[in-house]
Amino acid sequence: MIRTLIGFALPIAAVWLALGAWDLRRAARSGLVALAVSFGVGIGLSALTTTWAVFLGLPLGGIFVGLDALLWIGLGAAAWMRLRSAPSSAPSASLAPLPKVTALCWVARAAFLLVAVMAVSASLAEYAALPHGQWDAWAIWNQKARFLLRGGRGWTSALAIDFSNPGHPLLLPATVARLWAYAGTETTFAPALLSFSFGAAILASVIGALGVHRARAWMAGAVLLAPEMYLKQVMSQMADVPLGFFIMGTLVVLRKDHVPDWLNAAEARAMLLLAGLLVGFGAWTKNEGLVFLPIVGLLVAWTMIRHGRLRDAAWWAVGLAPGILTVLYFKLIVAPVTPVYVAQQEGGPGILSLVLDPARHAVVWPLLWRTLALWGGPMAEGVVPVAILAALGAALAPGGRSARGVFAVTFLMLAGYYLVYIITPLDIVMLVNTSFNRLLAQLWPTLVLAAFFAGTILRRRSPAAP
Amino acid sequence: MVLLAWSVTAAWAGLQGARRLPVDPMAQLDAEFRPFAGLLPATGTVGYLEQFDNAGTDDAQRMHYAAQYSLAPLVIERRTGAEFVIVARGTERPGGDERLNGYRQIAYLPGEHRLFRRTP
Repeated sequence: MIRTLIGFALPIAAVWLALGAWDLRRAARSGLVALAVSFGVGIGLSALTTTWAVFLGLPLGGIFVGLDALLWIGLGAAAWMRLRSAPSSAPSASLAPLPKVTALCWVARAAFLLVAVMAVSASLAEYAALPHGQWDAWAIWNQKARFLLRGGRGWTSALAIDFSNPGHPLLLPATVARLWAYAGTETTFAPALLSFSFGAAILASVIGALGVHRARAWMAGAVLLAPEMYLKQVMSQMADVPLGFFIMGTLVVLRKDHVPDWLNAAEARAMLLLAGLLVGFGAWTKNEGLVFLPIVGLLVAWTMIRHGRLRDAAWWAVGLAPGILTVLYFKLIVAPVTPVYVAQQEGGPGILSLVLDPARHAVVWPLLWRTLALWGGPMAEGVVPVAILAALGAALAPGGRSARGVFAVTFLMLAGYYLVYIITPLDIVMLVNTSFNRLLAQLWPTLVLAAFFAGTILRRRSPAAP
Repeated sequence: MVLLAWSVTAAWAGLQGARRLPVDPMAQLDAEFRPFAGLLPATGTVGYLEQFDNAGTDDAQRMHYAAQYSLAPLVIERRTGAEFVIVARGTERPGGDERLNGYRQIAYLPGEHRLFRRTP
């Protein structure tokens, strides 16, 4: 367990120090968000180095662990020395003064603590019952991790197994395999730790983005953790919550609740670089990350045009490159397999005829609506429509820039998933019933964030508000 | 306040649900199939005898997927014809299964899973 924790902590600590040393931590605009982003970037980068080690034929044994540890210790040491030699930076003048912590905030914190304790207990109970994770965790993600660890150069035989979706990206299996290499054994603790940590990072992002001194941040945290169906996904050891984190992390870094940040070139570039990295890692986590990519690209383009910073979008592309180039290499060279849910289409005209077929919409729409309305589990059914309405209200409120961005991206993601259901050659009912609950778990955090963003904006626009 | 009360109530309901989760058989199946690894080549394809009836059920699928999960990086294909064939418990037709003609049993594991090898 100790060795797993060392392998887990090394890249995160190194990235945390590096973000501070190269003045990128300011892009997070919150200590909690900075921690979550360090986690995401650390896990993402270490997954990429592991993936390329495997692609280049280096077995995930002792030599790999030594080189990997050296890499992260070296990066951390370089960042540490730079931090020590650099003059301490003055606090950003653009930050608003912290509001006084109200009685409501203390009540919200207490309720959140209660919910968090129950959520952790439920997570432990799920781990005790399903140490290898839910069905897809062992049939797809952890199985691929075993191929990467045990197979050496022969790991590609995993691509012959149809039921484990050979074209799925490898961020999660590579990370699990890396932790197993550190542990020296295939402990179930590694994927469980990873699964739990992605859930915790989402929570930290939400609370940090909304402001730890505000009651609504802790309310949002409590609401986020309340639905049983979300918690089950957190400990499932599958890739939906990790992708949900990369979506959340990107949107939190790109949030627009403080316009001066976007007017400062250094801060804008830092935000774009980090957002690009997180989007790239999202694409290397699940195919849905490739749906997120063009959608968030639109958000970035809009933001850049609005603030006259179109040239700075290159920083987004620089951040995007490591993840996307790996995805392209994998999808074009290593595993050129079209996902079964969009395979066997007859090109543009065939897809257009499916999109225009009212009979398919008549099947998909009621199915999706029913799943969406019932999502949540005991005492939580109906939370998604309520959250959508609240997020829409926040987006339409004066000063709801961040909520508008987050809501628009979430809406377009849902529209993208809807389109896939419309054009799929698979049995629609089967596909919706086996996937839409998971897809909602990816987007539940962003809906919660959007729903609670409104007040933050209004308070910042109105300095007199308590 | 309503929101917070709802969150606590829903989280409590979720915790009760998690406590009632049945133990997943995967850990047991993983351990049952693992000893085959010492009897099989390190890489390549191994056959797996499809359940003689109800082959598409969740239980039948889980058994095959568990063998694959346990024995990676071998590829476990649901067919006969390979040099080695895994016969998981309950998959062989009672009273003799003609799909195993030309094979002889070379191992029997405590989980009632067997390994067959093609006769020369």
